[in-house]
Amino acid sequence: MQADDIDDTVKRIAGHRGVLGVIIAARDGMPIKTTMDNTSTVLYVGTAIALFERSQSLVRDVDPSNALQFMRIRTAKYELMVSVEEEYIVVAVQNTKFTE
Amino acid sequence: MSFNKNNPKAAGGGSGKGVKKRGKRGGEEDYYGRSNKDLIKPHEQEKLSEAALKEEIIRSLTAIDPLKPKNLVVWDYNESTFVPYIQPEQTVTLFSLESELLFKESDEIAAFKGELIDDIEDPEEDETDKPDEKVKKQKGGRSSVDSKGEPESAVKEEPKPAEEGEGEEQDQGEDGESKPGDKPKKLLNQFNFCERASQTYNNPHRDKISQTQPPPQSSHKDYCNQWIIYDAYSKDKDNAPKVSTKLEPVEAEVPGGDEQGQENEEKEKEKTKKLKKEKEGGKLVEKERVKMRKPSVVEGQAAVDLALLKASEGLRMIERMVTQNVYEDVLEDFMYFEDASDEYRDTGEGTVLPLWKFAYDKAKKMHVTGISWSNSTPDMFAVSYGSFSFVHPVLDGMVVIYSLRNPSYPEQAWLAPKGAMSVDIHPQKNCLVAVGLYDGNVAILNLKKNEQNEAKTIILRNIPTEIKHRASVWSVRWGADDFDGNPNFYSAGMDGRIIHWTVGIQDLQGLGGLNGTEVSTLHLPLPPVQGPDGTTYKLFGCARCLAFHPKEKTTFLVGTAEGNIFRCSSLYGSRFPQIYNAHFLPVATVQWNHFHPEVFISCSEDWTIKIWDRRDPEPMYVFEIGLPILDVCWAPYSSTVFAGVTDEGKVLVYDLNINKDKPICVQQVVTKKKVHPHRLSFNPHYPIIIIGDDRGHLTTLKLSPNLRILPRDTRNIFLEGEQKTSFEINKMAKLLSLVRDPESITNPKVIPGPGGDVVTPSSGKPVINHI
Repeated sequence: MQADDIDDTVKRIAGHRGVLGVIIAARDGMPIKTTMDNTSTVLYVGTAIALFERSQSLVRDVDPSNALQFMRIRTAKYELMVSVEEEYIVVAVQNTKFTE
Repeated sequence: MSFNKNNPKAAGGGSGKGVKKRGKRGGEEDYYGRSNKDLIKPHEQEKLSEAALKEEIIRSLTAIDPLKPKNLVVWDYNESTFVPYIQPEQTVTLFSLESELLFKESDEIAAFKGELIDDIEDPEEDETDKPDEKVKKQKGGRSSVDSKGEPESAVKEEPKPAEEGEGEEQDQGEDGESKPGDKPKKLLNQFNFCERASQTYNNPHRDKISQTQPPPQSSHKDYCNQWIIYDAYSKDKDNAPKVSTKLEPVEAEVPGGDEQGQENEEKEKEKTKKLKKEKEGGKLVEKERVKMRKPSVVEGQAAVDLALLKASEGLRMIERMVTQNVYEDVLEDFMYFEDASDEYRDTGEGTVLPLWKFAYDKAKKMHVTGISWSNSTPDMFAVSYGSFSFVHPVLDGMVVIYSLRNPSYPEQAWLAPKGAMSVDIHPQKNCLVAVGLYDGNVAILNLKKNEQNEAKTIILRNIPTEIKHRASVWSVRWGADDFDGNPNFYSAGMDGRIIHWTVGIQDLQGLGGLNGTEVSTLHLPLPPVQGPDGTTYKLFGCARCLAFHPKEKTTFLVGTAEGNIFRCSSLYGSRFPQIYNAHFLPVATVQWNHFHPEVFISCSEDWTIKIWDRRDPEPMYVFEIGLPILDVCWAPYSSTVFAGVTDEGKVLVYDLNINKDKPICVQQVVTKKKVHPHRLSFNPHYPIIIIGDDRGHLTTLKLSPNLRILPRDTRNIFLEGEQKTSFEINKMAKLLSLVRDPESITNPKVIPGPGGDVVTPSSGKPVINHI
């Protein structure tokens, strides 16, 4: 993907049915790109990173050569999807009831 | 003593159980507050009379250890008898000190060889008396020089008696045992050791304390578990062999290895260069040349975007997850839905269920000219966009890679100048895509990320001056790798030539690495035609489609725009083993059967689908559809199932095993009549077909169970591998034998169509009419 494609991709994802927002943040929790408002962004990113670290710890304790790639948490109202790279974390929030 | 009084017997060695009372406090109570008067006597205690109680028993303390045995004997070896063992005194030495003092009158003094002094003189006192001594000595010397020849010896004795008076000088001088000399002579031991002590002044101790500035401290918290340790180890391991990789590039250059070796070597070279740079950082850098720094506001938006490229993988995943949610129902259908009503259909009919629709907005106006599934990753397919209408101005084309996992957006897209007519993904290396272009060129796309191409595609194009098609390339197909393992492919063009291209090893990273050699020119079996200037030249057919035999790598079929099908061999180009006069209008598609080695299928715009046995010049089965068939395709799972797509937008699926006359599925897949589906393709793995139309859309359809009946053995388990292949071949052979049996058929079997048309072919083969 080219650099300008990133922007398009984010907009495209955010335009899918039921998507509440897409956030790209650095691993330490600082959001870089987001389609949501600030408070929600910070809230999602902080908790998502903490949960990701915990799950990563779980996976790697079982087998250190393994690594966690992404997680999906489905709740009653929405689904939280977290995908993690080395330097960045991408979070997407999507409604569940809508798409069913 | 009071103790004795109370319990003499007990004290003297009774049973030991006697209560020992300490009556030290006297009086009435002891330590525990129990009164003495209430003495508790143990019942074993001997009862004595009053007189006996008051009897006094004297005990004396001696140094004799009462417990020591008095009659010990020891064996004497000399006398061979027991001898009483006399023990030394029963004393215990508590302290002993070696003394330097000797008793004056003891024997040892006499034996002592050194000189002794009678009195121990104080050296200080000795010196102060010296002047007196000298005075007295002089006096004494005058007086006693006669009496003694040793005036000096008298001096020694003088200090003390000198105080008493001069009169005693003489007496003292007569003492023979006086020592000469001013100083008293010191007593030396056998080592001639003389001890002399002095004491230095001890400086008084003072305490002095100073304190430095404490170093700056910061607390650091971290946790350590198994994977953190593992990470540290792997990092260490990666850092360690840096040194040795320097040597490898030098060695690898010499043999000039293959593409993989070269690529690796270059990668390693760059790696070592980068590693050197990063040594201080202590971090390994990946392949990207651009160093990604954390974006800061100062650097601006461009830097942010550049840095964000690293997040692209994550975004891709997220998009797939999101679309998975969006298309959840479709996905479930794709995976699990099996049309149950199929069981109740007696005629064995089936249906196709529409799944996803793929579209790319930039390719909206283009025609789908080619679809190719990837064999190794069955969810990936490549689509070439171009134009079939040669009358209209030609638009740009594209080659787009889609994945079933993300139906909303393509994975990659590449712009083809002037339209792409055909596409094929390499069956093994699914990163190589061959494209045939409208202007006669061919190109290869490399989908893998490479160091040289940040844009992820390398395009290799043929050098137009050397060899190229003079007209558009209708079909490209990958062939088997050649002897060096290089991928190669064949292209068939409108100019009637088949060109064999090899992907050059060395130039894979650069451009123009395609080497092409012409394999054949499709000369039509017609007499040569007079040219405008009188020269005769042979007519050639315009190749429309190309099909390689799945087993025999050198045999292939070419369908032409004149309706002929040429069976050719890549070994020799000028003569053809067979030319079939297949159709009246251009042959749209030819394809070999996946199982039976002799059978192939062809379809054409002349409303027919024909199934051939290559040994026969006449087709085995002919299906008259009544509409131009734009594409036909064998099913990969069966030798008797094939599907075709008509100009009207219907898809037809036939299974010759079930019904030789009618299709088991006819369904309208493209809704508008204006839209024409041009291409059809079966997924090699999943039971879906994909249809591309001239609006740039692709529709995926799932085949219902009736359409994909797989053979089962006696145990009701699906056949696999060898068994399946032979089963399928037998199936087809049976069908062929039905058709070929000459005795049973004297007249052609004609099934009238709905319009009452009866067509009698000149050959002895049945003709099936239907819509």
